[in-house]
Amino acid sequence: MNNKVWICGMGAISAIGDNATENFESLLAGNSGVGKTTFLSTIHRDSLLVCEIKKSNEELAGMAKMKPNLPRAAYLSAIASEEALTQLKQQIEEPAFENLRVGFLSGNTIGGMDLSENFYSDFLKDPSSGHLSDVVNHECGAITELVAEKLNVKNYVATLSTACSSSANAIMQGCRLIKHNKLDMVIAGGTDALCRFTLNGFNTLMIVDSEPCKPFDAHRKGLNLGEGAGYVVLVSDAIKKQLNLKPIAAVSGYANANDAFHQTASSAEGIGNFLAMEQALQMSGLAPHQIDYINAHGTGTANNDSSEGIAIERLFADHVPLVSSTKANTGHTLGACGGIEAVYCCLSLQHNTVYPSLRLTTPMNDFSFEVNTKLIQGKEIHHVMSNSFGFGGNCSSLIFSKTT
Amino acid sequence: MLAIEPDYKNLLPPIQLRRMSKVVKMGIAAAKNALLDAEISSPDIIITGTGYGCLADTEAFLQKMISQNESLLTPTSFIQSTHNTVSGQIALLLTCHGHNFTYVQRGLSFEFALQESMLWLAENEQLQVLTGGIDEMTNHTFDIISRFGSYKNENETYDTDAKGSIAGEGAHLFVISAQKTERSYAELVDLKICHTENISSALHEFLQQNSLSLEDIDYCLIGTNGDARYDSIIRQNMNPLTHSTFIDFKKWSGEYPTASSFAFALACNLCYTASIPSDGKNKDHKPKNVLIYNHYKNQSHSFILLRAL
Repeated sequence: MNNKVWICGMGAISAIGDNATENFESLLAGNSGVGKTTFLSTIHRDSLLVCEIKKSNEELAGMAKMKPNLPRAAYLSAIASEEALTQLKQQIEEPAFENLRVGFLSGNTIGGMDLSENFYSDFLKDPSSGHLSDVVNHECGAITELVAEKLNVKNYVATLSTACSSSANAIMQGCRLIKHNKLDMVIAGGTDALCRFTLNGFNTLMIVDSEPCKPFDAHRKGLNLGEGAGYVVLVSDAIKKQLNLKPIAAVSGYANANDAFHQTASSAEGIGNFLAMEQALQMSGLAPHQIDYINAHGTGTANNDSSEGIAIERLFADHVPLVSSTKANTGHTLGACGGIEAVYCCLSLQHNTVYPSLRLTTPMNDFSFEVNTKLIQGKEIHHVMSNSFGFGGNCSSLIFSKTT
Repeated sequence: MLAIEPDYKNLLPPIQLRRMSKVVKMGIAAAKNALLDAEISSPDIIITGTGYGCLADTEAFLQKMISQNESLLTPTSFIQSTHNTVSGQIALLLTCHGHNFTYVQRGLSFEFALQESMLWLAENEQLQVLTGGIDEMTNHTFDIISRFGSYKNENETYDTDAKGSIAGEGAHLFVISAQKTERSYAELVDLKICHTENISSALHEFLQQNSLSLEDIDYCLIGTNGDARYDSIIRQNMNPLTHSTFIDFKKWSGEYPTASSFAFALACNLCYTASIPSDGKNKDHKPKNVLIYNHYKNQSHSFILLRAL
């Protein structure tokens, strides 16, 4: 098995930017995408804040160069994955790409639910009504297929749906396929769009903050939902050498573990969180003190931030790295967050930058380390960990490293 | 065709049962049976596939959200609506902290789960992997899919020469490992997912890669689903297999995204007992190589090769 996997392209769209560069500039400026909904029609418009991409479906379709009336998640996915692939393609001649075994692996939790909601309100009144075009792409797998066709990827097209860790798992699985020499290159990440289903769902759990969320603050009240997509292009070591590619970063460790505690809540001590981080670290061969920054899952819910912080402290002990959550900027983008945050981690390595946790004023007592609240630039960043934890006890951790 | 459900009372406490949708109950029952059969208490990792996910809970929450205008909603159906609910619930029940993935890729969801399971076993021969395919059907989804013309009319059967298939559902889970035991049903030799249009040549290639000739395939479990639009094409794709006995497994399972996991169970039994339990007829010889050829809407195709021990 070949053990090196390189990242040679990245793309992201979220409420704080339409591409990776805009996202990075917003992170530097401390921008947050949180506010009232403009395009999502909901009765909670004034009471629940979200991080919405301020573009209509028509505008997104135009940006994605796709036909109208497709699910919003497909547009977001196409925009970010195309950006990532373009970055790769700029380094090589087109025929070289044609000969590669390329895969598209996307994480996704709600598929085309945004359109299915419209269908359903008609369908419930009369089972023969509702536009079938609104449900034809309902399945998560349909979103991935639509975008794969756009990217002209055929060898391997798959969707992982493990709630909020979906896209982290897609990246992990992309690495596994490359290591087993099943594929040369994988565009991996995820997408999710805002819809009433998830907004109302999280609201019933009483974990949505009615104000801008403040991850890791002692007085945090919950999360703000967001939307977006993020992808990286994973490349095998052989192809990197053959095509003389200039990687952005390397994937040096990853692991998925299950908390096996509760369908939606994390165990108080963060069993799954700890195992995922520990096993990712083991795979990387790095010592805890070598991790410079953890981009935490840090949703802003009482439960997550406490379990995650406790698990971090238990694993890293006296060597807790800089820790922050960028969900105060982007909101919790569910199936997309692992992909978007993978891009943020690559940018952190590239620009030696650690992002602040916004709106954190009162530190938590659950653990003794301090979550980073300042923008740090100029400190050499060698290794970055990214956490994603989801429903079903699904916990994932990825480690990205500098290429030299 | 609805799944024949076991008496769950022997498997789960009544309080838990009341909250669980059919897909979760079916998945847990199948997982428990598979573990019991393999004589292990818990797998190391869990990898499942589901095309539709948790339809009943998704629809229940959606329906209430719309009819109650986003007000006075309760979380139970929402929290059970995520696609990885079944794998998560199995992990919870078994306190299994290992790797836990769920693939949701329409008619290839089970195949992707199985493919990843095989990668894990190639990495670590000591692992016990719980894998399989799980899908449920609901009245609403049946009505919606019917409007696309995908299902036959009520008075038509699998054998009726008409467009459309018969809707199905089911949960089939398996313990697979790199170690042959007395409990082993069959050897999982290889799996291939095809996006090519030339399926016959993909078949040749697949067999060649496994050093087999066409004559070596004793049985072909074929995914003809009774839909007159596709069945002749699907049969034609397997024309080169002139020596094989063909078994139309969807006659029994109906059509659903992870129906190939039903065929996988059938193939395991065929390899082990030389019989197809669903029709009771004992075949005269123990098969050597069994091929599962499935398709979904003639858009995605897959081969799974099993060998008798």
